[in-house]
Amino acid sequence: MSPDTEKIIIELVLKALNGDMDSINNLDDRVLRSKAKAALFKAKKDPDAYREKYSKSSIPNDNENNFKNDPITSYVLKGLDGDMDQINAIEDRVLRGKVKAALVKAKKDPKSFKMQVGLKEVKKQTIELDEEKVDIEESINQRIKKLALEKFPQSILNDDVEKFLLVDLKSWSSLSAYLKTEESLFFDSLQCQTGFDLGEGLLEARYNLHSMKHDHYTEIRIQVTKDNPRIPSVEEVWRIADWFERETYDMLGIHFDGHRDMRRILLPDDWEGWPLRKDYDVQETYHGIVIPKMKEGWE
Amino acid sequence: MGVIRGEEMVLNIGPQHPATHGVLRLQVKTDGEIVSEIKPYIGYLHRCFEKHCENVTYEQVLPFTDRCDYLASMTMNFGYVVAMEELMEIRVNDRVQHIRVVMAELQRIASHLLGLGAFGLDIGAFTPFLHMLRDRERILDLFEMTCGARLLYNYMWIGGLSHDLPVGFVESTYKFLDYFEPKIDEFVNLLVHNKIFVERTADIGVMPQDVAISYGVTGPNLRASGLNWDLRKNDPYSIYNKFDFNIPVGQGGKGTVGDCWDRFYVRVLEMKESIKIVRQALASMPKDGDVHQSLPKKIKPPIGSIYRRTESPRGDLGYYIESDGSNVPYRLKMRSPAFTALSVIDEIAAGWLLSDVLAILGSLDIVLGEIDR
Repeated sequence: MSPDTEKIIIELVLKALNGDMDSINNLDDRVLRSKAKAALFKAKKDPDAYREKYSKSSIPNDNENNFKNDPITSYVLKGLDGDMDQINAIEDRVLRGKVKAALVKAKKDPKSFKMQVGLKEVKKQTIELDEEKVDIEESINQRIKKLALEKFPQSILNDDVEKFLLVDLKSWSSLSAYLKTEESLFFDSLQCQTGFDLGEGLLEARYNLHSMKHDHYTEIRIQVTKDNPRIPSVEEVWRIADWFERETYDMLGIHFDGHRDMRRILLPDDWEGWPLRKDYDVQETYHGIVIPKMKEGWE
Repeated sequence: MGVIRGEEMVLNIGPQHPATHGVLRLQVKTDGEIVSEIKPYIGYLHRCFEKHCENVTYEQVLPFTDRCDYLASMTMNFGYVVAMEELMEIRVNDRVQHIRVVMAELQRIASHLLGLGAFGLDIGAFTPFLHMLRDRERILDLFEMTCGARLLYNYMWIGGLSHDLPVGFVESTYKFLDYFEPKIDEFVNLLVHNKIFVERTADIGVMPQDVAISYGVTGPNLRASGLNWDLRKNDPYSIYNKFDFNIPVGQGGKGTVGDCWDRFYVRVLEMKESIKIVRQALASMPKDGDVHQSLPKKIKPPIGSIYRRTESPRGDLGYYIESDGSNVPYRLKMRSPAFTALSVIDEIAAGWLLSDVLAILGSLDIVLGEIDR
């Protein structure tokens, strides 16, 4: 997180603590918005301490203000730390050139460059760590995991649930019904269902769920082996899963147990193979029609 | 006296039939005039878009998205670039954002015009179709002026646009909007309150809200069922949160909430809202800004995945992109709104007369290119 966004988030959180939620909700940037909300959640636990910590000194410190006046220095420092992406992402071409030139100079003797600037790295890093922790603390996935494990032990397999929940095959049919009916979760809408070929003999089905009522999202992943690609169907829980699962079956050959109409949907019924598997070979002819081979790469 | 049931007959509508809006086969079981079961057979236009994507670079995916929903290519581009920019954390400048919104909303109007016209055509009203195509032409002219293409634009690029706006575009657009705004009232008089039209659509094919959600129906079809859900408001992307517009919701003006008439009228009202957005975007558009400013030199997203939805004229258009760090997508899935809308047809159209089934199909506004991908 750059010092600028950090500053913005702190300002927003302070505003929100005073009751002005709009300024957070109106943010353009989704990433920034969620970070701000996460920071706010943490701050709300002890608002007074948060206010005391930040409002007095009005973070960021003097150093960073200096950097604002001199963007080249700040970029060079980042470059020295190995973060070249930010420099490459500079929109102004002239500035980018200057930064790169300065970086080359600085690299000859990075230590003295840093000394000159007098960077208080330690302080910055601790703040960053704090923020990241908050992100993980208040995620919907954590809540689902807690609730699900109470009801169905061993149902969630992954420890780090920041992005998705890896669900055990056996508990999926009962868990899916639970996710839809439980009042506090209420995932009434299956947004997207798709399959993946992970290689190494593994296939994966992914479910993107959304709750219209609570407006939260989650992603469920289920892994099966290619030898026995069978997953319980959720067609009766979310009706759209009927067609989504047929498509996944059509493209990747994952068989959904309990589906009432497991046929191919986009390809003809007598098509051979599963096109989206990585080891797929196109059949040579189909009812006497020669199928052109797909080109390797692109000319 | 019990109900007398005749022998059931299986009837195929399509694959080649004007009312199927493309190449779709509906296998219909009928008892006399009453339809008891509908089985859609899709895939006639299947090109395996997703397989193609795994063999071309990220930039080369864009023309493929055009060809999925060929009636709303701008919004198809839009959804993809929004997802890619979020994955790569690219921020484009304000001018690009404004141009994109203008294009997407003009496209929404164009798409709705064709959808509404074809719906009228499906149930026998020929004149409105011509009126609507006439006005759609003017939007296509604007697009042609911008990027040279009338249907498949490849206009929005990851990190920018292919061209800046041409000289005179803003004036022409204002001129079009001034011309078009009163025309909407003309449509309303011509079709919306037309007695024959109302008789054919009101109370027909009612889609209850819970059915719509369970079937993943989104966009105008869902809003017609009375749920205020629009990604432009509920999960704003690009700069939609800067504009002031309303979300039209089905009220059951001539019958029940969620009937064919509601689905029609919501689209009419949405065109008005789109005009509002275009006007605001044109007025607040920054004069300077390079549309190629944030174009990345090479497109290699970091390892990871993203699922991002945007509001296309037909509903939630989602892209699931999985990147393995190379310049070729590991897997790209398009969640097509028309696909989910068509899946509901058996649920809401069974039990109606055969002629009503075609009205219901028309009211869903499907595009087969996007269903089959």
